[in-house]
This record gives sequence, C-alpha cells and structure tokens, in this order.
Amino acid sequence: MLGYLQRIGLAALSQLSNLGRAGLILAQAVFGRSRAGIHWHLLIHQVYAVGVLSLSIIIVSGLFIGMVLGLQGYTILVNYGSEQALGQMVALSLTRELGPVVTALLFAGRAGSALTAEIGLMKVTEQLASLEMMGIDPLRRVVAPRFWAGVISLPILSLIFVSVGCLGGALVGVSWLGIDSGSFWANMQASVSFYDDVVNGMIKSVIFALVVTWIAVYQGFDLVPTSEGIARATTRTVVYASLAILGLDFFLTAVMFGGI
Amino acid sequence: MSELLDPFITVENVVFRRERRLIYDGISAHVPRGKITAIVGPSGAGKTTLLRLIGGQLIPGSGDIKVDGLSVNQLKRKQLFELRKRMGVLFQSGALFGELSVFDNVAFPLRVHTELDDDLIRLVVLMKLEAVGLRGAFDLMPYELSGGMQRRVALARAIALDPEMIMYDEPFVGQDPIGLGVLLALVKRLNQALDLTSIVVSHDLKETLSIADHVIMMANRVVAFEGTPQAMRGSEDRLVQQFLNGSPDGPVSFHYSAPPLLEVV
Repeated sequence: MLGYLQRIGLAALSQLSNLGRAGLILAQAVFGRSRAGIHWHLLIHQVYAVGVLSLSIIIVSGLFIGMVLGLQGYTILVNYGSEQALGQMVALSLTRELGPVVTALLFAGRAGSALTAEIGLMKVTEQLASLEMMGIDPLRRVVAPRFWAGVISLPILSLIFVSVGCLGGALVGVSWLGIDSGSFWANMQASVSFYDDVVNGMIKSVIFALVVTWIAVYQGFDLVPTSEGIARATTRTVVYASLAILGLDFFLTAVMFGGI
Repeated sequence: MSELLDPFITVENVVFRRERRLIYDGISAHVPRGKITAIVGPSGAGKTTLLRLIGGQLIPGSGDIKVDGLSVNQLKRKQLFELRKRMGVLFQSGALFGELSVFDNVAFPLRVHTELDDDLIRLVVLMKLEAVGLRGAFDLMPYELSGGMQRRVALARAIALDPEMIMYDEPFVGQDPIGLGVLLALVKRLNQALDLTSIVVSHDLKETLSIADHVIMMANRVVAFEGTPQAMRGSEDRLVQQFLNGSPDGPVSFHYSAPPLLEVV
C-alpha cells in the first residue's frame, strides 16, 4: 500500500516537474531578450511552414464537414418542416464548436507533430547544442518563432475552416437539396452574433493555439535524443494536445455559452 | 612550467553525477593556453561530458571550472552566451544545419553576431572554407557531402568568428586514412595559424598523441594521468599502460558495475 502511494507521489512529482520545465521553456522563449529583437524573417518562414502548408487539409476537411452538417441537418430539420433553418444550424455549429475544435485537432496532427519532430531532430543531430555553443539561444532562435507562428496561424485557419464549412453546407443544402438560397443565407446572417458566436469561437481558437503549440515545442525540446525519443514525443504531442483541446473546449463552452 | 602558471582552462575538484551515476569524483586538470590538449580515456569515462562542462551546457555538482579566469558555472545566462562566442566546438556529427547550404552554414554565426555587409561575409566565409580545403563546395548542401567533408565544413563554421579556443569532439571517428590525415593536419595547422587553444577528445590514441602538446587521461571517474605525450608513453601506471596497450584486463573493468552474478540468479 505504502509502495503504491509512493509510486503515485513520484508520478505526480514528475508531472509537476515536467509542467514547471515546460513553463520555464515557454517563458524563456517568449519573454527572453534577444540582441536582434524579434526574428521577423524566421517568424514569416514558420507561419508559412505551420500555417500555409496546413491550408489544404483545413480547406478539404472544412468543406466535407460543412457538407455532412448540411446533409445531416437537413434530414433532421425536414421532419419538423424547418429546413429553412439549415443555414443557422450549420453556421452556429461551425463558429461555436466544430470550427475551433476540429481545426485545432487537425493542426495538432499536421503541424504540432511536425514541430515536435523538427525540433527533436535538431536536438538529436546536435544542432540545438551547436547553436548554444555559438552563443545563440535556441529558445529564442528555434522555439519562439515556431510558437508564435502557431499562435498566429491557428485562429486564421479556424476562420478559413468555418467559411469553407458554410460554403459546404450551402453546396449540399441549396444546390443539392433545393433549400431557398435567400432563406439559407438570411437565416444564417440573422442568427449568428458577431460577439457571442464569432468572437467567442476565435477566443477558443487562440487558447487552443497557445496550448497545442506549447505542447508541441516543449515535447520537441525536451525529448530523449534518440530516434525512439522522437517517435514517442510526436505521439505524445498529438495525444496530449487532442485531450487538452477537448477538455478545454468543454470548460470554455461552459463558461461562454453555459451561463457559468 | 609557464603553461601551468597561465592555463586557459582550469578544472578544480569537479564532482558530477548523471542522475544517480557518479561520472567525476573530484577531478582537477588544466588546459594550457595556445596548445593542443588531448582528452583520452576509455568509452564512458566522461570525455565529452568534460567538454559540455567547459562549455557550460552541464553544471557540476560541486567544484569549479574556469575559462580564461571566468567561472563557467557562476556566469549568468547572457555572460555565458558571450563567453561561448569565444569558443568553437566541432561536434561529432558535425551538427550542420540541414536546410542551409555549405556557404550559409559557415556564414550563419557571422550573420547573427556581426554587422558585416554581405560582401565582407562572403569574403570571410570563402577564406574559412579555403582553410579547410572546401571553397569549391560552397554551394553544396550538407547531404551532398561525405562525413569527413561535413566535419570540415563544421570546422570552418566553428572558426568563423575567430574564437580563442576550439573543442573537437571525436573528430576522427569513422574516417578513412586520408580523411584522418587531412583532419589531423588541419587541427595542427589551425592551432598554429590562429593561435588557438585546442582540446581534442578522441579514441584514436596514436594519431591524437602525435599532434598533442598536453594529455589528460580520464578513467574510473578520475583524471588518471595528466602531462605530456612523452611522459604518458613513459608512465608505469598500470591504468595508463592498459590504455596505451589496449589490454582487456587491468584496472579498467570490462564489466559495467553490477552485483555478483550468483547473487542475482
């Protein structure tokens, strides 16, 4: 019994120590002073690598999810004679929930794992150590641009996802199932509030971006420098980030829309 | 004797543990200024660890490491990074940046740390590449180079900022006789031409001792020998003799420390 408690205590201490180390790495990367200030060219390069290269998966997923929402929504709403409200249903589902959550999950799988693997490989091949020994802080040079690129890219990707999803819903609802185009778009416009729905969705996205990118860069920076270490760290990035997104989503939804 | 009075690096009573394993049990040594110092010893003796301690990438449990009079483990982060600009390191893998060309790899520290214009950077980079015999390879990518060429490019990058000292971590591993000879000559030539203090960690005893002025031998968690290569060859110490002759039996145990087999089966 005592041994069991000891193991639980050790595991808790280890997790706390990881959290502390992750916090220190983030603080040094984000708030540490650099001689050259902000490395704009590195940031732009990373926004391209992390954000622009994720566009295809975001657009395709957004389109199909919007189409599925249109199809499923229509089959339910038509039973109540309310199929004209399809635009409202598609738009609210996407702006409040599916947009931020699915984009963040896809981002964790596509860009988060790539960030972890890239930083991890730099550690395995001693590139991070070599930067340190050149008098260059790898936290400022490698971690910070990637972190900010994730924080900038994910909310924009989420907006694109929602927009394409609405078009997907319209494609199925209006072009295929024959709902009146005017009522589809007018219902959507009338029911979606900019502050309550769009802004809250964006706030969710920004929080997911901070968490997912933090997990990804920390896992890469702190991994055991072996090929197996990289494999484990990339897996951990996707698993931890996905769980964090879903857990945080419930909490944020409860605060934003649940009246807590 | 004068080199003992003016060492570039001094290591005093350093104790270092990696998790529970004791690596150094109070080691002391010095690296003379302007000379080539070889750090030799069996695998796992902590030779590379000593380089990382000197570079401030690891912190000793106790003791002090001074580089040109500065206690590395007492320096603040910014001061440490300033000190590192005076050091060059050649890593075992070369550690070149894979997405940058040979030219850009060597130009990298110059672009980050200096305000030189592009023309001057080009001139300096080509001079450094000329020094390692790879000026003609300036536009190649690292994956297009052999292991030995990658190390020479990494060496050009390490000397780009004209450091006062350079640390070589196993520079001769996996080299054919020609590549090994080229690197040996380079280490010697650069040390003389640039008035560097050089530290070479290597298993290739014969070759390393041929260019070294000073030897530090690590074994069994202590400095087993420190002195000139000639004194090392003449030493009657059993440990030194075992290492020089490559004997499987002697003070350095073949087995990693463990309880007797009969106790565990």
